[in-house]
Amino acid sequence: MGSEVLLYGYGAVCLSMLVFNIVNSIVMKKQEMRLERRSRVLAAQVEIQMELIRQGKEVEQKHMRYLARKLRRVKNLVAFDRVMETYQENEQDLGILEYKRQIQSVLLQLAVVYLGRDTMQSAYFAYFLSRNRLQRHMAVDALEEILVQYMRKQNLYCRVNALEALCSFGSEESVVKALTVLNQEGGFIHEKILTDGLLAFGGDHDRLMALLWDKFERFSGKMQMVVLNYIRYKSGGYCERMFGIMTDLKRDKEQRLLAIRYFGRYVYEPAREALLGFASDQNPLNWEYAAISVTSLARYTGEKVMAALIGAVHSANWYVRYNAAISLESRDGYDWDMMEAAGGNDRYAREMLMYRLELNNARKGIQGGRI
Amino acid sequence: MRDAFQVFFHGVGIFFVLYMVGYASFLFLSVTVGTASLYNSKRNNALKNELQRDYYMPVSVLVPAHNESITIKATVDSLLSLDYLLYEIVVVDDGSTDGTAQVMEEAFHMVRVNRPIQRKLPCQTAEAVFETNEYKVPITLIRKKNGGKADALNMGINMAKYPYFLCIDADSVLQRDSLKKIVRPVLEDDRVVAVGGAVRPCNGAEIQDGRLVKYRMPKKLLACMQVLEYDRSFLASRILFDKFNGNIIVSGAFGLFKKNVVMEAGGYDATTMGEDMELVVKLHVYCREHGMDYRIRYATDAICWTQAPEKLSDLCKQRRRWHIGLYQSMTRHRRILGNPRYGAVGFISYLYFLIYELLSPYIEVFGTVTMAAAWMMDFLNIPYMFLYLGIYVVYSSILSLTAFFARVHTIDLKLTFVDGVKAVGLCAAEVSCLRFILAWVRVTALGRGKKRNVWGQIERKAINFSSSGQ
Repeated sequence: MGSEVLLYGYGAVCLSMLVFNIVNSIVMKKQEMRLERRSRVLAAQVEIQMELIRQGKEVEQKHMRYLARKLRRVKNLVAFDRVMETYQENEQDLGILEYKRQIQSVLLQLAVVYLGRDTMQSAYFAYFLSRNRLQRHMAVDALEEILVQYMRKQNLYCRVNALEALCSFGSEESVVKALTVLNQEGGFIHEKILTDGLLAFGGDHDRLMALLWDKFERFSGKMQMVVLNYIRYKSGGYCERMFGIMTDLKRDKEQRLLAIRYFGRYVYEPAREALLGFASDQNPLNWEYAAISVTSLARYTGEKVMAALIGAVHSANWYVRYNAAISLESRDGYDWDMMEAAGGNDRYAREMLMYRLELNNARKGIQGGRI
Repeated sequence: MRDAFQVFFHGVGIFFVLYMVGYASFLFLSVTVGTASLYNSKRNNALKNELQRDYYMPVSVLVPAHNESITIKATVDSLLSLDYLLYEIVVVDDGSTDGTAQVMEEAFHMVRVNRPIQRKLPCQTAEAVFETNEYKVPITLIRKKNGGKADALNMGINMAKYPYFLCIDADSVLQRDSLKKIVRPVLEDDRVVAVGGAVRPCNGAEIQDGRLVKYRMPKKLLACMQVLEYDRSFLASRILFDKFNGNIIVSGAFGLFKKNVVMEAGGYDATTMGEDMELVVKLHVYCREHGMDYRIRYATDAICWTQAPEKLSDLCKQRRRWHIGLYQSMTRHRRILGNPRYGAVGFISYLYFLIYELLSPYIEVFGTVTMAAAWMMDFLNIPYMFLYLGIYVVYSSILSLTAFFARVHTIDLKLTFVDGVKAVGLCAAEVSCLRFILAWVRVTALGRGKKRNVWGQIERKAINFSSSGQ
C-alpha cells in the first residue's frame, strides 16, 4: 500500500528529527563549554596586552594580527564580547579604553569582513560594536562610514544594531547619514525604535537636531514623525517651526497633533490662540485636535483657557471630556465646589470631574470626599 | 447485499487512507516547520538578532475572572513582576460568588472610586470600580454583573487606557519577560493587529518573581499528557499557520491585540463560548473586508503558564466548551470557506479546522463504528488493522515527542531522566487513549449543555508562584 510507505517515510524523517533534537542538545552543551574555553584563551591574550598598556607600552602587532584572524569567526567574536564584558564591569580600568583605541584598526577590518557576511552575522557585529562602544573622541570616521552601509542591509536587527552603534559613538553627521539611507532604502523600522535610538545618542543633541531639521522636508512622512518626536523630547527651541507645522492645514494630521503636544511640553504664548481654537472646535471630525489641545492647555493660564477647559468638559466626545478633566484637576486651587460648578447639570461632565478630584485627593491623602 | 457492503467498506477504507495521509502530511509539515523555526529563533537569539532595548509601548493587561479567589493573587503578583516599562493591570470580576473581588481588595489595598466608563463595546453594567497606585503599575478592579468571559473582556477593553491590550486567564501566570516578548512582533512590524503567545501547563512548574526556577513533568498522568498535547498543537500548527498569516486562534489565555481594530471589529462576541477564536476569525474578516494590510502573529518565546485540568471530568468540561466554541466560530463565519476574498485563511486554515478539528471526532467515531461493523460481517483484515493502528500510534508519538523535546531544548528547560522517560512512556497513551476519549467528548458536546458564553467551572489549585514583593 502506498499510504503505508508514505507514513513509514514520514515516520523515518520524524525519528531523525527526534535524534537531531537529542544530538543537538548534546552539541549545544558542548558548544557552551567550547565558548567558555575560547573566552578563557582570549582573556589570557587580552590580559597580556592590558599588562603592557599598564606599563605604558603599545599593544603588540602580533596580537592585532591574532585578533584580526580569530575574530573573523562569529563564535570567537561572541567569546571576545564576553571577555570585554568582564573589563567593562570594571569601569575604573582605564587600560581597556586604551586597548580599544589601539585595536581600532582590527575592528575596521572586521567591519568590512562582516559587511559581506549573512545578515545575521552582520547584525551581531553591529551589536558587538554598540556594546563595546568606542570613545567619542577616537577617530572612527572610516568605521562609521562602513556602519552606515550596514543600514542598507534588509534585516531589521542589523539596521537597529547598526543605528545603536552609531548613536553610541558616531558623529552627528553619521547618524543623519544613517537615517537618510534608511529613508531611501525603505523597509520598516518602528518609529519608537528610531526615536529611542536618537534619544540615546551620546553626542551633541542640538547639533544633531539642527542637521536633521535641515533635511526635514526631504524625509518621508514617517521619518519626519521620528524627527519631530525626537525634538519634542529634547528641545524647546523649535517653537516657531513647530507652530508652523501645527497651523499648516496641508500637513499630515499626525504631525500637526504632535506639534500640539509639543506646546503642552513647552509653553509658547503665540500658540495659545491656536490651541484655544482647537479646544473649542465642536466638529466631531476634529475631536483628536480638541482632545490633545486640552491636554496641552493644562500648562497655560488665564480665564480664556479656563473657559475653554470647562467647555471641553461638556464635550460630546469622551476623550475630550477625559483630558479636559485631567487638565482642570492639575490646576492649582481647584476644589469640589469649583468642580461641581464646572460640571453644572451635565452628569457626564460631573462624573468625570469628580473622579479626577477624587484621585487627586487620594494622592494627597485627603479622605472622605463627597461623591 | 454483501457486495454492496463490500463496496461501502472499500469506499470507507479509501476515505480513511486519504484522511490519514492528509493529516499525517499536515502534522509532518507543521512539526518540521515548527522545529526548524524554533532552532532558527534560538540561533537568532544567540547572535542577538532581536530587539535588545526596552521600548515604551503601553499595554493594558486584562484579567477576566470568575470565582478565581484561589488563583487571582498569584496571577496579579506575576503581572506585577513583569519586566516591562509601561503597562496597567485591569481585573474584571464577572459576578464571582467566591469573594474574588474581596481577595483583590485586601491583597492589593484597593480603594473604591467613581470612575466613569466609556462604553464603546456593549457589556453588563459595573457594580463598583476599585483602584490602587501603590504598586509599580496602576491596578484597576471592576466588579460587574455576570455576563460571561467575553462580556468581561469587553468591559476590560472599555476600561483600558492604552492602545494595545493583553488578555490573560485568571488561572495563568506570565514569565517575567513574556510581555516584552509578545510586544516584539508589533515593534517589528506595525501591520500586526494581534499576537498569540505560547501557553504551557504550569502543573509541575515552580515560578519565583516571574522566573521559572524549577520544572518537573506534572505528577498527575492526565496533566502530563496535556503537556505533550499542548506542545504539539501550540508549537507545531501555530508556527506553520504563522508563516502565511493564517492563524485563526489566539489563545484566550495569552493574547495581545490592537485595541482600536478590535473595537472597530465589534469586540468579543458574548454569545459564543469560543470568544477567543471568534475574535481572531472576526479580525481576519474585518481586516480583509476593509482592505487592510494586516498580520496576526505568534510569539513562540512569550510564555504563559496555565493550569491544566488534573481530573478527567474537568478536562472533558473544558474540551466540550472548546468544541462548542469552535463550532460556533466556524458556523458564524462559514462564508470565508473557500472564498478567495479571504485568501489562505479561507482555503487552508478554515478548511483544516473544519476537517481535522471540528469534524474529526465524528469521523473518528464513524471509523470506529464502521470497523466494528466490518468485523462483525467478517470484512475486517485484523492484522492489517493492527498494523495501521500501530503505524498511527508510533507516528503520532514520534511527532509529539519531537515537538516536546524541541520545545524543551529551545526554551532551556532542564528535564530529569525520569521526566524524559515519563514523556516517552505517555505519548503513546496520549495518542491512543486520551485522544479517543476526548473525541467522544467532542462528539457529544454539541448535543448537550448551554451554548452561550458562560464560565467553565474547573477545580482550581493554588499556583506555585512566589513573589519577593514590590
